[in-house]
Amino acid sequence: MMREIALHLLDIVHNSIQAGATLIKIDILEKIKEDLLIIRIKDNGRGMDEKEIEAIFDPFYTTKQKKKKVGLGIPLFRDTCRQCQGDLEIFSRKGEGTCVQAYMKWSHIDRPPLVNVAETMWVLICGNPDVDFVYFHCVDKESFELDTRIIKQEVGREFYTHPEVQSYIRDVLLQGEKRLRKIASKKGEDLL
Amino acid sequence: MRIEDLKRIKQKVQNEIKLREGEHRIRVIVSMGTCGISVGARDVMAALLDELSKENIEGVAITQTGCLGMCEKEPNVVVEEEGKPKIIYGYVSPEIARRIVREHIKNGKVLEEYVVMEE
Repeated sequence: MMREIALHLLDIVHNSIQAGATLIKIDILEKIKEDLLIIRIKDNGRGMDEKEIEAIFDPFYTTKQKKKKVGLGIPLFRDTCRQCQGDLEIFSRKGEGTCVQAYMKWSHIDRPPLVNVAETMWVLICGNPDVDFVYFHCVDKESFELDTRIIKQEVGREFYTHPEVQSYIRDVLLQGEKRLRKIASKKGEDLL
Repeated sequence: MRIEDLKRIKQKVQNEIKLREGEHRIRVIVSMGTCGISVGARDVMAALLDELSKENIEGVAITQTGCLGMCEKEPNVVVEEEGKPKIIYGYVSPEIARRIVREHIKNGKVLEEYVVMEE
């Protein structure tokens, strides 16, 4: 089991990258009023057919002919969700992309904390400069959004990987997440 | 995120960048399969990125990849430099990652004690 939801996120997004995605949308929806946490990862990668979807839930599934290896990541995350009165679902169509949606009870005692989502997003963004990320995180009505397409457009593709730009991205992420964390922990206290 | 900030950074970076050639001379790859992530690959990668910008080193591309097949030695960091053997480090902590940047990438001195494979 991963200690942080953020680490599951990093793991699942890696599948999207390996599936050749150029645009990945990541939503973290903390609906504290409804006591629900939803993590959604939507990509435009090569997608899967029904048989493949079924197979990736099997942790020991592997075929040598297939280039794409799907290992323990999905079953591991699904277990975490199920422990917390939730589940993990995959919607996919061959050639169109995949959407992984995980949900769980926000206040469940076994739910791992989100922890360092900012750093996870930062590592993903800097480690995959050719992939565009649209990141959205909300706590009820408060939200934070980051779209790397806007950054690329403003600073230019050639400077996108410059350390200066990268540390700016980190600052933006850290600030946005810090604000939401404060709101969430306050609301969470009321819930418990 | 503010558009003015991005414009300002672009201006600054544009001025600096004229001084150097564009291509990346070193590639650093962090193995980030489920195995790597579960033992701290993310923090290692963050440390690499952070140290590179602190030391103000350019021309280094950091990317992530999947499992290298040495799960027991994770987190793994690969350093590829043109004309030199590929170095794979194992059991890398954020602190070792920072040393890799300062000693190997900056000064060309390989950290022998953490090398698990050379190709």
